[in-house]
Amino acid sequence: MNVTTAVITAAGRGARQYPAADTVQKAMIPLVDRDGATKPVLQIIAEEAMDSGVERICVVSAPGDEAIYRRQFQAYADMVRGGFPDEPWAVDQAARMEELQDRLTFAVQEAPLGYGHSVWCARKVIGDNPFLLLLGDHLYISAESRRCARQVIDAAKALGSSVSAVQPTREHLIHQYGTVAGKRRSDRSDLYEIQEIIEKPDPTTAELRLTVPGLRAGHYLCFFGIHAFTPAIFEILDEVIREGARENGQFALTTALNRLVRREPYHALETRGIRHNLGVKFGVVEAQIALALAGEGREHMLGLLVNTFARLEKTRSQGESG
Amino acid sequence: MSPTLIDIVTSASAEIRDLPAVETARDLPLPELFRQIADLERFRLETSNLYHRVRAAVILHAIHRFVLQEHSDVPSDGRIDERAFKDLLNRKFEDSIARWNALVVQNGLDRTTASCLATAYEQTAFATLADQVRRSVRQCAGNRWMFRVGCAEEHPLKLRRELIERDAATGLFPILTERTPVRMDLSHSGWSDIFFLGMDYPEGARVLNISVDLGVHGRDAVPRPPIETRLRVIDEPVLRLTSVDLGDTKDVTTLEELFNFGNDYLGLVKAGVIASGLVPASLEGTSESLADVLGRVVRPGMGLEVVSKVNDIPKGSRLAVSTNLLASIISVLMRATRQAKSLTGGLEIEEARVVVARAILGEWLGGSGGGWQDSGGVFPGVKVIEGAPAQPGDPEWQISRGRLLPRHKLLDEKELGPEVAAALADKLSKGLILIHGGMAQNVGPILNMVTEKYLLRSRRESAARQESLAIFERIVAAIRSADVRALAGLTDRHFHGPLKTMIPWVSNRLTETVIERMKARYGDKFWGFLMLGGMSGGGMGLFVDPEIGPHIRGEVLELIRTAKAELDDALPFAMEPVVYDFRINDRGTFADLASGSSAVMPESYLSLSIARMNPAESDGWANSRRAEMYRFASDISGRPDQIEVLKTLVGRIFPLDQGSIKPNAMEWEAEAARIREHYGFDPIQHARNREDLLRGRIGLARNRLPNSVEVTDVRDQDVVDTRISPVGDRAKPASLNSASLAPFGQVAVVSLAAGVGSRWTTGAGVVKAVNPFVPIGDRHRSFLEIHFAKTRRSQKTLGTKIPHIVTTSYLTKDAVHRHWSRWRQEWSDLSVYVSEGRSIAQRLVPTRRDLSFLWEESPQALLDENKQKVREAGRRAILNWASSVGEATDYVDNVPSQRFHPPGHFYEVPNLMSSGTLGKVLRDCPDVRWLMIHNIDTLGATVDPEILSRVAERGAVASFEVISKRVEDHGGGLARVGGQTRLLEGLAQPREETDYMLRYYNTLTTWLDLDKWLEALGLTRQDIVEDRRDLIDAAVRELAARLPVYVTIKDVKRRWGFGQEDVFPVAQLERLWGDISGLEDLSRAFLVVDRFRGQQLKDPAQLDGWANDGGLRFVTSLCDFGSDLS
Repeated sequence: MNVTTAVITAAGRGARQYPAADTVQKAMIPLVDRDGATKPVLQIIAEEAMDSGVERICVVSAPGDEAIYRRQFQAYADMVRGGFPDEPWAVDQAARMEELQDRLTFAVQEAPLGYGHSVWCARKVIGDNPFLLLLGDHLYISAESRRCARQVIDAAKALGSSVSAVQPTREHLIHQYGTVAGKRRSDRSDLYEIQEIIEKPDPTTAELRLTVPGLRAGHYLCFFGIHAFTPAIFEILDEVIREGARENGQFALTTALNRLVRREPYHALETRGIRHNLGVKFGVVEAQIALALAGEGREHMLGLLVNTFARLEKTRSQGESG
Repeated sequence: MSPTLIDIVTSASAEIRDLPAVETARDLPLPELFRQIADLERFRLETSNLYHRVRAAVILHAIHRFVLQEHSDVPSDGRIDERAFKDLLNRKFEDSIARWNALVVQNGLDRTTASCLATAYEQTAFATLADQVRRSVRQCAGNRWMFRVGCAEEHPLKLRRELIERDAATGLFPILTERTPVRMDLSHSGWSDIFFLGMDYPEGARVLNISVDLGVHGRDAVPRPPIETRLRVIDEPVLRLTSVDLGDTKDVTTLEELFNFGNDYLGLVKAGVIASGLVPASLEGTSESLADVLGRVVRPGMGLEVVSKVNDIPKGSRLAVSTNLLASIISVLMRATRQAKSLTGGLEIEEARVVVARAILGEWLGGSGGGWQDSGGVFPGVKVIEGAPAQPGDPEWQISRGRLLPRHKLLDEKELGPEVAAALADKLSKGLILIHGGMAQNVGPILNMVTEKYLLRSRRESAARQESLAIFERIVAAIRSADVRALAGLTDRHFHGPLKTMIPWVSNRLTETVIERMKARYGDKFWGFLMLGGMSGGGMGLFVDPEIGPHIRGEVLELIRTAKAELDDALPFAMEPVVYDFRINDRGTFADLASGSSAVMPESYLSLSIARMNPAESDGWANSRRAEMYRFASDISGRPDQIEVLKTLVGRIFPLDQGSIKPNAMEWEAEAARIREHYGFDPIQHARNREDLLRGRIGLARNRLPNSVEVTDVRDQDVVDTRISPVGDRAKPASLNSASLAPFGQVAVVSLAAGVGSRWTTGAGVVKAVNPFVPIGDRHRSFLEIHFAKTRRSQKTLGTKIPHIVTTSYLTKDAVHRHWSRWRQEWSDLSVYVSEGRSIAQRLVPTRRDLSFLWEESPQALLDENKQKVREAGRRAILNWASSVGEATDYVDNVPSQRFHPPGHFYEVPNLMSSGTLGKVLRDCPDVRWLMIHNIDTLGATVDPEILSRVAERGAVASFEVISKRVEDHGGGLARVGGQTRLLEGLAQPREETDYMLRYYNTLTTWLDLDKWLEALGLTRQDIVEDRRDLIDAAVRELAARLPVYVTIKDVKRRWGFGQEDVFPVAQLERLWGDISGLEDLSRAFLVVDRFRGQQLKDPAQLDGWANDGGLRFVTSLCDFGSDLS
């Protein structure tokens, strides 16, 4: 199974970043990446895919967003090139953005009908091909030389099946994620055969149905936000949408995944890396700090953090003594 | 070779495993038995299998208790080793067993040590079981995470959004109401819902459990789910917990308060909150704030309120009201925190199973008990609940054979078919009359007996258990065919057959009377009896022909009331009997969400919460509270429940005195005044006593003799050993036929019955003397009847008349007279005299000093971890109570009779003289020279000519009988005090260790040589015959003045609400008869008698042991009830 296409879902507006997200697309929030270049989030995510061997990327966006994305990409490339005419990094960054633009295709999700629905919107672009699925508001920092997405693609290729990245997650956090029950494979300790998926479970349900032998007590396998799917998922999503099988009013991807489990082999890969959800409180800041600490800006960021802390403490102690 | 004791525990063959261990041990020669005991003990210590360990411990217990403790070849007298005994009290069971076993190796076994080992083995067995249940409960899937949450930040639960949405128009938060039925068990199945039975014998653990709605007949219009739990968000960061029935409400603001289960009536609600996961159990003892936890689950700054209500269903209904209430609280909170799929409606079966596991957890947390079927009310309708074998992955796997949590199989309409289901529902609700007999009972000891007997596999018990299982099958078949008549026959046979065989204590005089009268009244329309729970007397069922069922409920209630009235002072009743209406609830626990103007709490809740609100501070009220008051005010239409709220409100503004609040207060005061006057209450002495108590001149610490007094055990020459062989023989009543008879025909028996026996019914105010506690022959017999039967037998055997005197006090006089007048016919061959008490004292609220001394300075057995916590919290509450009502003030918050006490059993003999009773006896029987005085609970005391001849030989004024000590004989005994042999009260021991030196324990049985006694008092026989009260009273006063006064703390029950009881400690001042033995100018003798003769029954928990160790057989052999049975 050769994965050369990817879907990034980016149709959400990011209510938690309001009011910034109301004017700037959430995926266009700029962050300084590991290589020192300042990039929109979408580019960082797309590079995760492209560095993992993906050639074509489909971004699922809200109606009218394509033009805005493209305009912003172009404006940004022009700004970098125009602002730093002789800087090699600027030339390089501008070229990368233009290349990215060429590889991007946009699919429109007309109404916010759930994650499953948003993936389904990419079916025409992807066609009958396996694909990588990424979230438009999550960044990944791998703990090894391969990108996190690459780890998933490699596993899918080796197994010839759909693979979802998972991470053991402590139980007080599982209410945020899709969580899987699985059986560890005897040949590879980081691979599980998935048996059931429950979206955002409570700890009691998790303990009754999602306990995975071999994991530490109180830990569950939660989705990491990266999946490699066979095209069968589109057929299933078709059915789900045709049947109107909604959960809490939405077409959940989980509904389709539970059907996938029953149709073909489906695995979970314990991925080596860290995920950053930009959609939560301090999510963007945390991601920025992590990116800096994982790349060229490490010293700079450490200095910055220590310095900020020290100045704050000093001001506070002066305040108290005064 | 015959199987060894180890084989009985471990064998793969059921035939060997089911051998009766005690009978097997009894057949072994002593050296072989000792060898096998040592092997079994080694095995017990080594094995890691829970079942083997527990069974070995129980067998070792039983062999020590029932084979060795009274074995004729085991020396009788020993001492209780101090270190081992203290280990036992501190729950270091293994240390105590090791120590005692080492002593046995060193000195050989004596019967005292056998009794100690028996107790230690028994306790370690039950502690091991409790530990395993605790582990299993914590490890049940669905419960584990609650023991891992380390701080508020890690709390994984979130409240459902729907509950936080406040109604815009009214400002009220929605209310989620969970309505839960209770469960009715038709099968009983020999207590197989005890955890250990389910875990060890899952095949035999099966019950037929039905969820029912309930109404009190004559009070409620229709049956409805009796349990209602309401949940609401509040805009204050507190947990507001309310129990409407118990009239208690509290804002819990700290974790410490939440985990305190003993300081209020909200223990069960608190346990529910914790077991639901809202506040995980792992947060106990952490520095987390409750507000943070609530902030995380609800919203910062907000909290929750839980209101529980059981619609005034009386306690002790045997329908598992409290467990289902716990389950209801857990369900509502699980729904609210997204642990159940749906916020409203029924629960899914998997969710209901989690509720069951949580309810067990809650009961463990709150220190209460319950079986695994009790929370069956959360499931719909009729179901079979059965034990399940442990599977890989279960926490019990390879530890016990079965799982802690059972399986539930619904026998619903689908399973039974709609016609059968409808017929069953109809016939049951018409033909089964559910009643509450009114008795308050403690089922705990019964459950321990069941476990023990199950493990010992005595032949009778095993056969009964098999029969019980067979009956279960037929009960299920009867349900499947809706054959209520067959069902009634089966439950009736079950009760009178296997259940009574396994545990004779399940029945009582009330139950038997009711059954007898039902039969007499309704003939073949009365179909059978149903024992609902652990024992009968409280909730019970009477099957009648469904044709007449609905029409006779009123009559049946009257019949039970009459039976109750006849036994009122003889059995511990907590309330008037009740008849219920019921119907099957086929949806189980069910929730509704009310919002907007319909989101209101019941008026009874408002009365409670208003009582705590200060109208002057209404500015500070939270918005939601204000909204609720507005809503109430705008809705007032004059309904009676609203009027109640208004009354409370007025009372809050103009606090009223007690008299106008409590309806009976005035009558009670008048009755108390009457008692004081009639019994010559001495207010001046009372005031002096109170002053002494307050200033610490008297008190528990002052009861003790000075530390400098030398106390040692008696020497052999200080006692007369009346036992037959030097080793100590089994008591033989046959000695009555001995030729060497002393001057019989000159004896009168005195049964001391002035006390109520507060330990016997933990202060219930029941008169122990007339308590029919043991079935002998065709019915339950009371202590007094047994004493009469002995006297009758003695009269016959000795061919002479023996007057029998019963002493009473103001507490017991009426009861004894009443019952005597009923029995008189039956005992017309006896000369019975009832002597009235002449004195009375007022009970006092104890001082904090004495309470602390009692709990901290005197040896006390630690309880199981959680129970101990509950006990300590309860004690803190009692200390606060003492301070708030006033130390050493009169104890008045109870019915008049419970406010007073007889001033100690010393006075009972003097009262005989001053009441004129002795004079009457001497006028009727001038030959009487000896009084054999015995306590009401010394059942083996009889006029034994051989003992009397030894008494006469010694020629002392007073001869006291003592027995060799056993583990339960703690506190005092026969001692040499400052070189003088006398009885030493436990209260007076100068040091705690004194107790461990003494070999003999006081039985209180005393032979008084009447002439010498009168002479010592400066009186003559003529004074008594002529009833010279002035002389007698003066002599008694003089004698009393020479005896010490002890401060004692006794438990008193206070009853309230619907079958609720509180136990309070009260202080009493008493003089005790045993101190007569300390009067130097009185000649005394001390006789060691056989244990069966001298043993006293102080606690109902002793009954089963007494019935099985030969004690009961011995006593029965002394009796003549006028029929063949004796």
